[in-house]
Amino acid sequence: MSATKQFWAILRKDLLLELRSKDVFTSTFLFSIMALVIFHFAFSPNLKDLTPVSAGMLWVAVLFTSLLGLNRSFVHEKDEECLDGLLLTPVDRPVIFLAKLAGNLIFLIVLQVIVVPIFALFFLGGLTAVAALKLAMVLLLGDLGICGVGTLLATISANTRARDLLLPILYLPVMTPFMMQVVSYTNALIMGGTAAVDMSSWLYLIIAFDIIFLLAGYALYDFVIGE
Amino acid sequence: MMKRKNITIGLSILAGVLLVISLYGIFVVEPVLPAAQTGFSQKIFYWHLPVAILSFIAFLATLVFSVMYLIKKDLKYDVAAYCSAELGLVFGVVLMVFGMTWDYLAWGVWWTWDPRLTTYLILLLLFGAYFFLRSMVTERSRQATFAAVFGIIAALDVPVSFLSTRLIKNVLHPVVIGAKDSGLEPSMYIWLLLSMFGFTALYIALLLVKIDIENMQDSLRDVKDAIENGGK
Repeated sequence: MSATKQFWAILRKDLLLELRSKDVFTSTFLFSIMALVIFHFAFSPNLKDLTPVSAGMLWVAVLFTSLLGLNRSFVHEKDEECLDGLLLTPVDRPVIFLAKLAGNLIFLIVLQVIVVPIFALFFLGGLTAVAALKLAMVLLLGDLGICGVGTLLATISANTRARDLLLPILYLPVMTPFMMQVVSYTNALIMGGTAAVDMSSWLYLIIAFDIIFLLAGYALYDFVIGE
Repeated sequence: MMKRKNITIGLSILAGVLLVISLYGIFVVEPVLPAAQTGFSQKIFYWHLPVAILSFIAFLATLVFSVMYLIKKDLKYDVAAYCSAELGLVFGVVLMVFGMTWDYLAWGVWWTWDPRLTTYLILLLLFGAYFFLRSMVTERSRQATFAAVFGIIAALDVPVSFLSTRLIKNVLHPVVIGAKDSGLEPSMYIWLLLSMFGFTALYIALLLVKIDIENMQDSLRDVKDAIENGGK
């Protein structure tokens, strides 16, 4: 079986599982909407207009929601010893990494396609077409980084005593500098031309992070899953 | 083993002597700087900088040992990485205390989201996570591998994180606290270098002691396991 076929087989398995149970989608969807509602009430006492803090709200919601999905993607593999079964098959470890990453990425994108318009409706009240396209781009770049490092760290935490408890502790400090970039970029995007800032330097850093996270995940995955 | 013990003792004595001499130099020989250069509190600088450099060296050593472990799969590298990370954390916390005290005395604020402080805070959180991760894995080789992988990710994160904080500060906010340009006099370098050597000796001595303790614990665990397995 070629690597491409193996990749599709693992991805198809994850997607099929999700399509049948809809566990991840339902929980992450409800969670992110609830998070946005709570953010509204957390900030509204002092702010009439929530636009200045909306970029932060969006990314905090994305980051915390992604934790749910990432945990789920490996904890259920561990529960029924599925991961051991997967490892017994003659599949290259990097293929497992890429397939799991793709699965997580698809879950996150599907979620955002639904949640981000709701977010825009709640807090932004309209976005120009160019800004919307740029927002989609930065979301996609953000998702790549989140899933790249998240898939690796979720594999680690699923294989420890703490299971899903460990992932936030490992994942949040690693993601903090990345969040600074995506939030700054998104904020500049949402606030429009008010601040004449050079957004490209943030974009370059986001791409640099993506490359580092993906390469590190790809290179180190072999060690993690072999244990 | 005997020889190594002597080295440790020698380094500890050296560290003590150097640091005491540096204290003498800092507080007795050197005059107090004018208030424009943050006055008396500037004296923290002599120990602040060496501690900062050493905590970075300690974390860098963790990165190097982690990579070596993944390549060679020899547990002695993992022990070294772990011990160095612990020292890095200790030096890091001391650094934070020095830094915040200095900030307060010189500028009247305990904390500011300055690039250096922010990066350091993230670094400390990353290594907090590193120790939590270690404590959550019992099997020795798995613990070593996971710790090494996370250590590498954490170490990769730090330089980019420093760059990020700088970039954000420069664009959005003026840097409240200027670069710590203390205008060093030549004589001040001597005390700075003495503290630097003193802390380096202290770091190496502590690292050697810590590695010995860890190795002893490892062999103790092996003996315990052997007893539990009925001497098989």
